[in-house]
Amino acid sequence: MPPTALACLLAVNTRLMALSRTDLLIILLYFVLVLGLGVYLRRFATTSDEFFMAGREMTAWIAGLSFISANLGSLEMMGYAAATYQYGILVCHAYWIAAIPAILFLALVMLPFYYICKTHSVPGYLQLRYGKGARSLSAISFAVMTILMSGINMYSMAVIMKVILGWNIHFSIWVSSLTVAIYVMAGGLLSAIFNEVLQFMLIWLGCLVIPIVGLAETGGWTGLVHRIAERFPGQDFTHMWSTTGSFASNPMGIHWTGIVFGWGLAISFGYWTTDFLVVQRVMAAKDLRSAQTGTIIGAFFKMLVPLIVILPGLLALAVLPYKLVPETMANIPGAHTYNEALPLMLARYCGPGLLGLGVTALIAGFMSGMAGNVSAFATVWTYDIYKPLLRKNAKDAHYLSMGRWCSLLGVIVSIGTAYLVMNFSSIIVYAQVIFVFFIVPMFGTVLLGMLWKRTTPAAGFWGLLAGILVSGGLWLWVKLVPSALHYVAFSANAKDMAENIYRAMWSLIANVLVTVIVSLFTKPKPEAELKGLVYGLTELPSQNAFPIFKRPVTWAIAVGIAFIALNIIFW
Amino acid sequence: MTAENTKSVTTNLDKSTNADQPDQQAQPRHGKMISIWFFVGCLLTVYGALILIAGLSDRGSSGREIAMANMHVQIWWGIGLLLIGLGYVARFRPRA
Repeated sequence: MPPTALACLLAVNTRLMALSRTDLLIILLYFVLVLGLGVYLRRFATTSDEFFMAGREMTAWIAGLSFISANLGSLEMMGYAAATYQYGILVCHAYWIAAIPAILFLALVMLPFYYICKTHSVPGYLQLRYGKGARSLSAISFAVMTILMSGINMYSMAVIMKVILGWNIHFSIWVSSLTVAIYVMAGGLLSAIFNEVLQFMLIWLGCLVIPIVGLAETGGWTGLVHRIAERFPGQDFTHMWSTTGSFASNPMGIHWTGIVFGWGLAISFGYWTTDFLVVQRVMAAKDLRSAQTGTIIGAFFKMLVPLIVILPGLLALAVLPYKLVPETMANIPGAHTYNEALPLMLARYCGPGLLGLGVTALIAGFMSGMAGNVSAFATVWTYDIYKPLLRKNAKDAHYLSMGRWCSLLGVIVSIGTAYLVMNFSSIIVYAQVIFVFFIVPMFGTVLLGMLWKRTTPAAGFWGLLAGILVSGGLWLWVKLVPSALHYVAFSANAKDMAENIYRAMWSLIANVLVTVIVSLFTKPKPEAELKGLVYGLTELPSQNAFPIFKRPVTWAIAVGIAFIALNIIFW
Repeated sequence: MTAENTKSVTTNLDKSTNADQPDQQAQPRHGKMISIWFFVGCLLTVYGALILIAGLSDRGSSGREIAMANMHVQIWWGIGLLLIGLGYVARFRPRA
């Protein structure tokens, strides 16, 4: 067991907050409801299509909230609040430039292809477009990544419950994962989606207390900026773009080119347009227009998330009487780490009851994150690995029960992973390391496949592999030879987050180059086989029959304008 | 597959009666499925009541030190949750 984990296990009596009876009752009620929902939903998941795709009948609102909720896990909330404490408002780019353009692009450009070809998954699209090689590579890497993420998620939850509430790590891991196992086994994607909607409400209602009371304490935004400047002289934590003209002038050690191309293009488009975990939610919408509108609703809420993640991080910089320390210094008695920023702020403003709501929101975030991972894993395993490679022609009931058992298996393997994981400075960085390996190259492969009919099956496979290898290779290079950072991230000042961002950029470049070059030297698929899969050979339904305010594009433009305005306001 | 199609056709007919309330027919195929928003409403109502009671009985006597306690955010939040919860329950309650 790694030393930090051991330290957490031994430090029995240190905890951040004590829960009252009302708080515990609130947490308990949540578990009761979730299990009850699982039991209730079981009767609605009786075919494999219902189990894996929730019957493809979600409304735009439910698909959209679930889409954004699958991304709004507690791990990422606490991670980004922690990162805000370290790097300041620069982290907000994760919610704006590194999300909104990609989500809108997914809604308007890519979703029609996913939806029209009626695939079950993103690897499923690769199968239709490129054939077995690309699909197996992406399905296997996705399955591995999902389980790994799920394990990280579970472990961090247990550590956090330990630190905040003094709960036993094993208790947290087993109780939460068994609950998830029960409700995902019962209701499949439908259960996962219901829980995500529930989590969405809880997270907003539980965490919105912090910015409201916090801004009252600092005397509004100007007061907040003033206090941070006073407490951290010489550092700029409150501007998003004006400090990124050089690597050395901002806390993250990044240049605006990295933000735009690495973060805003490579990472963001890779994640939002090809990570099956999020795309699966909108694929379950009842029709294409609902899927598109749902995605745009998701973008709108994504734009607001900084209120409950970034703002608490900034408030922690301004009002906490002590300074937080990096994870590596966690064993200093009395010290609080960056990752505790969000829970500390919750404890600061929330009395009994309200605190229980906040903690429930975090638990809900963890559990629905786990459920999302597990249900996506079960889908990809059953449709993209088991069905094509292991057992082709079984009855529907067989795949349905495979899905149920895989959900359980996914949870068990995640538990195993949870006991293995740990060794990085900040939770979020670790998540990004793995993520960058697998998901970034997917974007180039999927997009070139959708927009360029010349892209060949061989190119799909080799491009994907090249992206993964370049990413992994660069990571290893910097790990073994730290001075290589200067080449990978253009600056020896680059922090972990900046390094990830630049690595993503290289990975995407390698992926696109290899895909294009291999395409030019190999034989493309005949056009007849590409109908419904590629731009120019697919009939896209026109939205002109709908009134203007019911067309997805109208709302996409509205979200786009708000996005630009926000960037200018916090420039 | 054909059986599936017929099923969804019938429910399409069923749901055309309340087509103006898109959120209410979350899962049209199983016309009887209770809307997720109903469950959300129930939970928020109970939470609102619990937080309001805790807020009213806890004034000034909490063991922990809470910043900005003079805002009585618990009481306001409790009332807010209660109202939102009741609103959802009323709007999305299962109808026979």
